[in-house]
Amino acid sequence: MPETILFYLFASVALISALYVIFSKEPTYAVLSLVVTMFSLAALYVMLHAYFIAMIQILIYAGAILVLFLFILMLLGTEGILPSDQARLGRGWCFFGVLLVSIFTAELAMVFQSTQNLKDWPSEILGTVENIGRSIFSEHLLAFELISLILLIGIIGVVNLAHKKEADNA
Amino acid sequence: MTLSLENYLIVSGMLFAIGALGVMTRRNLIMILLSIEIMLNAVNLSFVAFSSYGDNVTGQVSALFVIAIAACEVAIGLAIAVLVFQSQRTISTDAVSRLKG
Repeated sequence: MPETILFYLFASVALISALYVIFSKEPTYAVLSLVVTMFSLAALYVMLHAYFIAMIQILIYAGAILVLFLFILMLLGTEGILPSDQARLGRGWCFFGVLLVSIFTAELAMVFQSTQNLKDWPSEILGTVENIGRSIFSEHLLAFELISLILLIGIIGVVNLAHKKEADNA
Repeated sequence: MTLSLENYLIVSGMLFAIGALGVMTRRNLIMILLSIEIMLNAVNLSFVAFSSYGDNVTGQVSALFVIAIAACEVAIGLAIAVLVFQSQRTISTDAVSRLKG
């Protein structure tokens, strides 16, 4: 029972802070609110016994990605930010949204009907560092190496973009 | 009453919908990137939930790959945002529509 209360607590904190992210006028507050979302998602991962993913979530998202967002926001200052950048959605977008919601609902209903062969409780030893490491370095080794290639391409791309910027200024 | 897979999937779907709404309504490049992060996290939550309830570690490994690619995508997206700001003095997506070629 305390587990259920904790689940609803963290899930509602994640949803409310995500809503604040997309509706706030101030981008800095939006980034800080996204940090709250990331931490509550990490708590949900812990409740799913995915300890390694929870740790990586806090390290990479809260520690690296959102700090990068904050740096860029401080670099750009506030003059590039529009006073109100909420777009007005026309009737076509409303139709699109209704379509999207109905597709999601249908997919969720189909998934709920086909989850009978799954377990009723989360596996407790699956998310340890040992199990995930064994899986990464045996059956997912090629994908792991391709990820390192993608990160290398990302580094080269960002350095190239920044270099071009300096050349334009000079 | 125990927590089931459906609880996590509903939270994941709601987070994905919030992120999609953010991508559609905001006109600020950085806010669009933040909304994309929310959508990626929603997908990660459903990956981990399926992995944990289905007793298969592949979902958690996929979530790890998604996090790595998200880090890469954010670095490149923010570099592009800085370049757009330097040429247009704004990061509204309306400015990007004036680019040619």
